[in-house]
Amino acid sequence: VRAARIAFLSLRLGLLNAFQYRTDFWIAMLQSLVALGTSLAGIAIVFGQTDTLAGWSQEELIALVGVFMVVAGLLGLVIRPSLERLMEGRPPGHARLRPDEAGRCAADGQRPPGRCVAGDRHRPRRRPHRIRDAQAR
Amino acid sequence: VRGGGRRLLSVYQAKFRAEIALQFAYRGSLLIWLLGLVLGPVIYLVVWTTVAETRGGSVGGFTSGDFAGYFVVLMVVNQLTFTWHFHEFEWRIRNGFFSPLLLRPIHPIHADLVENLTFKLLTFVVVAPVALVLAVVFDARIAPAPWQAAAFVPALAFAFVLRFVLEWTVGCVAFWVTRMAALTNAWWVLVLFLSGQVAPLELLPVPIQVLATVLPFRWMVSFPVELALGRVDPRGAALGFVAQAVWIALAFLGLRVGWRHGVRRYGAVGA
Repeated sequence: VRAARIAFLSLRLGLLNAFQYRTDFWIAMLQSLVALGTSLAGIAIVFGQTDTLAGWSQEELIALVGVFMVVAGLLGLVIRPSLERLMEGRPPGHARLRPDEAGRCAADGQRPPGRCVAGDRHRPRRRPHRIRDAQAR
Repeated sequence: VRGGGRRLLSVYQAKFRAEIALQFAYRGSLLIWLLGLVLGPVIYLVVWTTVAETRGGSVGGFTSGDFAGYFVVLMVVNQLTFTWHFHEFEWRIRNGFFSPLLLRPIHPIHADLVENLTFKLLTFVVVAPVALVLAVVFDARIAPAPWQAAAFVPALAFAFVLRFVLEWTVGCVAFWVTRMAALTNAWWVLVLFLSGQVAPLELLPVPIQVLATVLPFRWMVSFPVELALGRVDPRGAALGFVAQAVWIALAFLGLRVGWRHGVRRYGAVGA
C-alpha cells in the first residue's frame, strides 16, 4: 500500500511538472507525435514489402510500439525527471559529498543547491548531447 | 592570406589537442554515442535481411547480402557525415553561451568542425572493425567497379561538407525562434527517411524517392552508399556530384545570410 501511494505521488508530481510550463508541454506532445509517426512510418515501409516479419504481423508490431510508448511515457513521467535532477545536481569535476542524501533529494524531485552536492554551479535542464564539453571549454 | 591560413591552421591544431583531451575525459559518453551509431543500422539490417528471406531471397532487387552491404556501408557513411551541433543552438542562445564564442576572433563554426572531426576520428577506430565483422557475419555483398570505389571518396567528402554546413544553417533558425526542439526533431525524421537510413531509397514509394532526390537528403548519405555498392551508373554519378555541388553552394549561401542576420538578433537570453 505504501509503495502504491509513493508511485501514485510520483505520478502526480510528474504530471504537475509536465503541466507546469504549457509551451514545454505542447512541444513535448508534438515531439511524441513525431516519434509515433516515425515508428508507424517505419513499420509501413517494411510491411509495404512483406506480410509478416519473423512471424509478426503489422497489427502486432503496431501494438508493440503502442505498449512501448506507454511504458516509456510512464518511465519518463515518474523516473526520468528525478534522474535528470540527480545528473543536473552533480556538475563534472564536483565530488558528491553525501551520496545518500543526493539520491534522496533527487528521488523527491528536489535539488537544494549546495546541500546535496558540492558547489552550486547551474546546469540547464535537458541539455543536449555534448553541451557539457562546450561548457568545459 | 598566407598568414591568415597559417593562423587558422595553428588554431585548428590547438583545438584538436584540446578536443582529444576532452573526448577522452568523457569516455563513457563516447561509448554510449558509439553504441547508438552502431545499433540503428544493425537493427534495420536485421529487419531487411529477415524481410528478404521471408520473400524468398530478395526484395525490390536487394538480396540479403545486398541489404547487409547497404547497411554496413550506411553505418560507416552515417558515422562519418552526421552532425549534432544544430541541436545545441537553442541551448547556446537561451543560456547565452554564444556570447564568449562571439567574442573570439574566429567564427564559431571552426570549433564545431574540430569537435565533429575529433569525435569521428576517435569513434571510427571502433566503427570500422565493427563494420568489417558485420560484413563477414551477414555475408555482405559490396562490389563496386574501380571507378565507383574511387568516386566514393569525393562523394563522401562532399556529403560531409553538405550535411555539416546545411545542418549548421538549420541551427541558425534558433536566432529567430525560442524553442527549436520540434524543428530539430522534424529535421531528424526527414534525414532518417529521405537519406535512406530506414530503407534503401529504391524501396520507398516513388513520390518519396523524388522528394529525396530533389531535396538535399539523398546527397547527404544515400549517394555515397549507392556508389560504394556499385548501384550508380556514370550518368547517375555525374548527376550526383552536380547535385552535391549545387546544394553545397546553396548551403554556404544560407549559412552566410542566416548567420549574418541571426547574430544581429542575438540577445544572449540568460547570459
